[in-house]
Amino acid sequence: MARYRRPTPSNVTASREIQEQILRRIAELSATATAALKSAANPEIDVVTRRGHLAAARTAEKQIDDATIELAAAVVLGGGRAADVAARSGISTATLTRRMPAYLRALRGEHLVQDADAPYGWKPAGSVSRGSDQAFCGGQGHCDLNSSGSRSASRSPRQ
Amino acid sequence: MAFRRVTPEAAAKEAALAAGQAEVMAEWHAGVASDLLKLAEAHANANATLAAVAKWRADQEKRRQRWCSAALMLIGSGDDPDAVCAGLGLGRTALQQAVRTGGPVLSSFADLLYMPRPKRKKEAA
Repeated sequence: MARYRRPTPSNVTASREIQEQILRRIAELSATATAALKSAANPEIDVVTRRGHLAAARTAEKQIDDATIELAAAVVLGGGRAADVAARSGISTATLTRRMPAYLRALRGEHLVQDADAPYGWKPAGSVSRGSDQAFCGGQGHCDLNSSGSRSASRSPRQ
Repeated sequence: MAFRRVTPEAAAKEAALAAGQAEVMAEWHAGVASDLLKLAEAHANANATLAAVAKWRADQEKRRQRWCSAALMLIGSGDDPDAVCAGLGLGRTALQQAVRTGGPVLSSFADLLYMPRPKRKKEAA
């Protein structure tokens, strides 16, 4: 059955949380890169040591490159259109859709719950039942998906 | 041999330049990453995130050239070219190509490369 790609309310929450998480990781990487570049700028060290520092900085910058794509993917999870995200972030649509983590891509349209062991700390609730044009959340707690808004069954155009 | 061996005097001079280059790159890194770091402190919204990503990714070619010149400065200061290429993740051929086509800054490293000998006519016996 085709998957619903409309973001669920928990997608939006998760998107925000995952963005913050990736930004914290980027901050750490950036601190590593800056520290390595500053040590490489010391004129007293020999070439091999300087090479080591520069290699560390280069690795960190490349990891930041990868993390920015994950960041854009997190925005897509929260409901951004790929074309829109591509235009705003400067990552081309092809690069974005090809390199975004498959796990994040699969989360969109699913009802999510937090789980410390799952990648990015979120996983599908796994108990979603679906009607022909609706997704309902089978989770125990209160969920916007079942209660109100345009996704609610009470406002279904057929009634 | 991909690159010429450098004399110790030239190597010492180049090492000072390499240190300066690292300083410049640290400043540049701080400049482009500043928005991402600000957001890591206090996250605003998705548009701000994407704008910060765009700032980081702007001018990729310039960034590659900076890393190329950093690599060439290391090689110029007497480091092992293969180790530099492996450490910084730049191909050796790509590095040589960058020197040939990479604009005025990178072409100043041309004396690290072997140049083809000019053709000579065979002297008539």
